[in-house]
Amino acid sequence: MTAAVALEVSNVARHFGGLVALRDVSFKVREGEVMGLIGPNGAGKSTLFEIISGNLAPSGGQVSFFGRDCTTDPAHVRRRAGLCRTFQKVRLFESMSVSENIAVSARQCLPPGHDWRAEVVSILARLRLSGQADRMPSEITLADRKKVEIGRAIAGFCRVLMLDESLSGLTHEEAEELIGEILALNRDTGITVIVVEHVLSVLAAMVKRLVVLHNATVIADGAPGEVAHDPVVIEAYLGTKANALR
Amino acid sequence: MDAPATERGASDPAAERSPRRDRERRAFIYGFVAIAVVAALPTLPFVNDYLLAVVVRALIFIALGQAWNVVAGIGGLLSLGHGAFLGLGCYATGILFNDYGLPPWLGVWVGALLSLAVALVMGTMTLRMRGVFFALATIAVSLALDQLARHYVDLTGGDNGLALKFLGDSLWFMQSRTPTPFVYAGLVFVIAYYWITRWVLGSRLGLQMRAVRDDEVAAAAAGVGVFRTKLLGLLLSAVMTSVAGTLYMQSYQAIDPETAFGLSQAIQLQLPALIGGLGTAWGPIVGGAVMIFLSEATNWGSTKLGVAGIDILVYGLLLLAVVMYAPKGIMGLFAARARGGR
Amino acid sequence: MSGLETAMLPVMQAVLSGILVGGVYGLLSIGLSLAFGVMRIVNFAHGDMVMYGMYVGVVGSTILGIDPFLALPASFLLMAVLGALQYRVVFRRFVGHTTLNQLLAAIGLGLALQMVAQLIFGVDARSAHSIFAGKYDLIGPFFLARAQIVAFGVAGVATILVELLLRKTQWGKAVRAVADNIEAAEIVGLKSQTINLTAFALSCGLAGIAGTVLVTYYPTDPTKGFTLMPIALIATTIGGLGSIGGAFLGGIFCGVIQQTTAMLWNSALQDVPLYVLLLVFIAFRPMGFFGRRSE
Repeated sequence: MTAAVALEVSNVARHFGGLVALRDVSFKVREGEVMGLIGPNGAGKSTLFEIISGNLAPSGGQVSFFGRDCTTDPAHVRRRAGLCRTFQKVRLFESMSVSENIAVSARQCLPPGHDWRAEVVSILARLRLSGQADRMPSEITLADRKKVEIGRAIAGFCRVLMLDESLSGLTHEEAEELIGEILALNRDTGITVIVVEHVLSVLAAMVKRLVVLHNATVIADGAPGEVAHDPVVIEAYLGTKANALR
Repeated sequence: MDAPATERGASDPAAERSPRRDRERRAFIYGFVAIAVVAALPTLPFVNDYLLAVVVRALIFIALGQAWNVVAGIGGLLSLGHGAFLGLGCYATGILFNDYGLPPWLGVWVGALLSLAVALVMGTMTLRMRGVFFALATIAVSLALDQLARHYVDLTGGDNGLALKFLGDSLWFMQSRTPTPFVYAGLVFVIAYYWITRWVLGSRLGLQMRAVRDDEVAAAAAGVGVFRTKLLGLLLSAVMTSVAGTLYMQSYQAIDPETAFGLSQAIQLQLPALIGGLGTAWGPIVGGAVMIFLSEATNWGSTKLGVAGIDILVYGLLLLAVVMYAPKGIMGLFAARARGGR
Repeated sequence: MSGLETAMLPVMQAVLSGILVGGVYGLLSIGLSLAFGVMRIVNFAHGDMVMYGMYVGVVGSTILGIDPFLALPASFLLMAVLGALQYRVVFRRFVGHTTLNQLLAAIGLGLALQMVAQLIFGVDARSAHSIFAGKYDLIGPFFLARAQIVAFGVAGVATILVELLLRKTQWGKAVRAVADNIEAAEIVGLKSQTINLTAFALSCGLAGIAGTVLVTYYPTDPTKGFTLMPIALIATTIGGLGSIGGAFLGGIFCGVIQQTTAMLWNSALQDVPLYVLLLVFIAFRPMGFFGRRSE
């Protein structure tokens, strides 16, 4: 309960011309937490995600990482500090093998004195990708591609892992397996996990806390059970996708 | 559950390594034979100076292609103005020697420093932007140097170019009546640049450059400083090109603005890597040899037919054919065959 | 006071002829900008299409005895057809992203076009004769070549027509839809390949017009494509890659800078400030004057 605050988003706003994508968004994520960030399409999830990971500057507000203001840090600096991410549409280095993909961040982000080769081997083993080490990204399944991307995201040094719709496009079994891997990662290494999804049902079993984004701002923040029965949330979802809450 | 997986992870790459090691050994043998053949050429009775000059030209363009390959092949940055660095290397060496009697052994470093400075300014100004802007900037820098070289006649010889004062055979001034010493010098360059390419490919910098080439946003998400990586690649390539420029100057003993900064020169710097295979250590070597062979053949054809410019036409069509039908070059075709056969 | 005026006159003259020359640079650039804006293609062979347009004027004038300005429709059609052909054979596969391979393909094509021109027309410079050639108009205290004035007019009209075509016609809407989002455009039933083909043909047709206009006062040879290309690229970048009106104004801007540099400093170095300007724009305002900020 008294774990440190890993990520704090305070009063973040962003507009594109006249369009308001985010306004006054604030929440905290504690170290070791598994948190879900949901919202219907167009709620501002992607904008927020890019602002937290450093690819987009907020129009106002700040982002701090373990108590340090990182609002102006570029993306690669945040990654080296341990703020790691995946992409909604998997973005692997297509000319590199699976192990090379992971090696990029292992060689970049590993604290001095550690062997990056051992790190790559251990990440591959943890994600059960060892058999695919020398395959090219184009030769493996989507589920494995997502795992490689997670591997690349956590290799070297990772304190917070942000997953951008990692479960979409997977079969039920594949999604279950990936959720298992992610929870195991959180349990074994204490990595804080933030999962961004637009459908609530897949998250309910996975996370202990949900932040709901709608119309550019936070409309609910709490345990999945409470949030799912929050009339504001239900209304937001009914407006877009009637059975998203099932 | 976890333990056997880890063990499999440890043993699998090792099992995969042996065919790769085989391939390396074969490449080493091919390389050794190639070096031996080139090194023996000057001693063979039927080899005349003309043939040796062709070999020197091939070696120089291989070295220049290797240098361009670092920034464009490994780093994915389209420099259309690498002639700028070649020109700076040539002019710096030549001017310092002609006007101040400085041997090329020293002039080469002045040229390299100038190239480094130009690359630093150009890179800092353009590498944060989309790749097309970098390409445009390299052309602009080349053309600006071209106009300056044509204008400051006292320094550069203007349109007519700069000819080295010939002092006779001298190692100190890197001059020779016969092409033979340049065969060996060229060979040293190609071997050295091959190892530099290999080193880059295996280094962290090389991995970063390839990551940036594939996907800049994903590279940043893997912790790679995208701008810094591109800039380092450009600086390394610029210095390599400039240093090879000194060899160019000493072997041809003359340079002019068109040869240094012209479009057809820029294309000739790109073709070895493109034909042979972008981003590979062997690509520029194979591609450079092929390019010079084609160029000699078309030159011969041109003279026979009495039509000028066939070589440039061939370069253009070759460029088009490579990027459209074989973007991975000759090495890519080999790799496809090896992969298919496995 | 009148001393200052006398001193300023040559500069004003340089600015005016810069504007006139720049209009034609603008005409060189709008086609280039169109191809980039719609397909993200940087067509390095664009200058060679201009060069062929120049030869159309030469052939029309010296062999058929037609004034280059009357040859404009023929030049437009010929280059448009050649452009459509290029699109089909080469550029079709590179639509959407400016890649290394796309740039190299365009350069390879440009070299081939240049050498084919050399095989057909030889290396010597050729010029076309227009009824406006060698005539000067005295406007106030300034001498202006009539061929340049007419060329400027053609350039301005062409720019306005292309802008209208893009903004007001059904075709223009389709082109902008495809440029904006190719997948969405296909979903609503637009044939993106056909639309791109016509846009590319228009781009090359404009190059043809630019060449034929230019050859009325500027002789051609097979390397002219490469000589003209840098200025067109700079004008396009300064105006804002993808913007038609921007490319035209960028061309005028380049013309003025070039002519005043030649006047005040040195005509042999007249392009150097343009190259520097390009770097400055790339570093500080890559979207140019009129381009949209993207990425």
